[in-house]
Amino acid sequence: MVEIRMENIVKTYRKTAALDGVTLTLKPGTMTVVLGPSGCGKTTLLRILSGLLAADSGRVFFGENDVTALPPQERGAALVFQNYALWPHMSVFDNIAYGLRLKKMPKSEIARLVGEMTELVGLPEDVLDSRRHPTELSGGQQQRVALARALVVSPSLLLLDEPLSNLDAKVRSRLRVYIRDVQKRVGITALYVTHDQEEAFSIADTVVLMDRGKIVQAGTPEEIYGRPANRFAAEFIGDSTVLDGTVSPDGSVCFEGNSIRGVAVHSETPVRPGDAVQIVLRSSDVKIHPASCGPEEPEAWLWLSAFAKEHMYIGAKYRHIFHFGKQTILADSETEYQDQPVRLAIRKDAIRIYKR
Amino acid sequence: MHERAPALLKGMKLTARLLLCALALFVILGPLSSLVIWSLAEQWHWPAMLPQRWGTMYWQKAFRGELMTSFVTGLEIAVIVTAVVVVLAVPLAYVLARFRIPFKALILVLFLFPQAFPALPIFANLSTLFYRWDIAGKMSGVVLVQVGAALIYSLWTMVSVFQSVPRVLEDAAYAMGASRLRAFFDVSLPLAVPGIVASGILVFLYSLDEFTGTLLIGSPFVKTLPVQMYLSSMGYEMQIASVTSLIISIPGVLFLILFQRFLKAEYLSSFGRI
Repeated sequence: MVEIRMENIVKTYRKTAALDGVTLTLKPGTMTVVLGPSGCGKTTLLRILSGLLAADSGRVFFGENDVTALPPQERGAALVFQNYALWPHMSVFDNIAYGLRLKKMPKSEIARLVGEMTELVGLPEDVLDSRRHPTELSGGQQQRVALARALVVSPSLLLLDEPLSNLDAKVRSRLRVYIRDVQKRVGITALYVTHDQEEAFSIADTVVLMDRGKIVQAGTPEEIYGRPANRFAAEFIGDSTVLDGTVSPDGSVCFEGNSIRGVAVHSETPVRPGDAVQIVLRSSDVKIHPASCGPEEPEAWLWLSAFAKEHMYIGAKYRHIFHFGKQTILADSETEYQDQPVRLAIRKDAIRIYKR
Repeated sequence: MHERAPALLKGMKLTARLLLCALALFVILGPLSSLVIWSLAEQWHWPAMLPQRWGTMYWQKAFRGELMTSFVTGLEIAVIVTAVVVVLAVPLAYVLARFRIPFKALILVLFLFPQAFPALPIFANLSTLFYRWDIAGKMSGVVLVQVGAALIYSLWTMVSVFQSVPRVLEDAAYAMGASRLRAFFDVSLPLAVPGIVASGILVFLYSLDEFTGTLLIGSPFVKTLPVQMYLSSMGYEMQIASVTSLIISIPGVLFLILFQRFLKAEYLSSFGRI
């Protein structure tokens, strides 16, 4: 188990920066999940760690070793790919045994390790029948084979590139628990790339949020969700609603005739009256009450009057759409509100305001 | 009435299909049948519909004489040409398919360039060069001229064969510790084998049928069947020409059946993509 370190990695494709000075440390034995929209540079980051791609500048360390100039063959980072990348002309056994054969291990040792690894990733023993080829297996099973193939060589780093994106939802949520479990049991340092935040939050020790080639925020899932570092983090995580507002002369923030007091504006420069701001809130933080409910605890809650007109059933709850001028706020509730005035209550510490 | 209508329609459809089959058979087998008749005609004078005297005299002659020698020469040349082309085209096509090479498109078009001009003057010019190198009229000269022409086709097909092997499968091997060469032999090459075989069959058939270059470079010392056929038709020996063409078409038909089994649709879909 070694610490993996990337220092100031820069990678540019035809003038667009895929990675713009990324520094990141993976603690030994932990699962780090890189999360971000497509094109944010997360896959480039993974490929540079694996050695399949060379960085323009910056250094990569595996423990004390500077591996920046080493090709993938000499790094000892194992890869699991989105489309499994199993070799269709080899049997399942040969796929898993490939790395061991390259190391010229004795046959009996190879058979033992392959058997152990197959059991560890939860595959039935009969997949090792010499006639079974990976294409006969289901997608979920194929990805388990890929995981076994990667882990059997005891790599110093396990890289997973959107490993579950090709699977259907049920298999996906089952397999991610399994991958996390295997990673913990083996105690391997792992980097997992995904665009799915639920996946990221459910398996990560550390979540690294990326945007346009830069790390926006790195922290525990709770930190990322609870204290987004900037507007991108606030917008990207959770079911967010973004509203446009302005700063009033008295320093409060105003949007469509409603004023928000007691919420600080996140900005590097001080805001002045008339400045445009963006108000980010999550639909899960918006509660709907009947109009008869009074505005209680106005210090902790922002109360808005609204009229319930539109909603849709989304399974177990209703998603209501409230119009404020040209802007909308989404809110979920288990009860259905139709053609009636309501009050929306939003916890002030869940509201984030950023200068535009 | 109502019940008979569909039956009638069915009957008409069947008739149409049978007619179509018959037409296809006629188009395919018509010319062949005249070849068969000619090869068995010992005496056939105008205006008779069919030969006056039938017999296997020309077939016997073919199996005894020069025809068989030419057939064997042709096979030998075809085997050598196929082997040389495959050995050259596999690494070349792999490199063209996998690596970013400046002017890649231009290189591939350059390889096609000789096809843009009529073959005869090119081969005629080549033959003077080959005489100077002292390989004209020799097997090596014929092999060289055929390799030059066949390499083009083979390269174009094999580049698309290697492009259809996903790069990520090689990446997976590198990450497991395989060298580039090892990954090529363990992953890319086995996956490309069906395409390579298909391409090899095409080269083999091309070589067996190649005429212009072989005639201009090889004759009169190296004669393959097409050359032999041409020479005998010049002497108006329709029988010999017919026997020759029937013999030539045997490997062609056999290999085309094989070829169909090896060629995958993916190769065709990426054909010509650079």
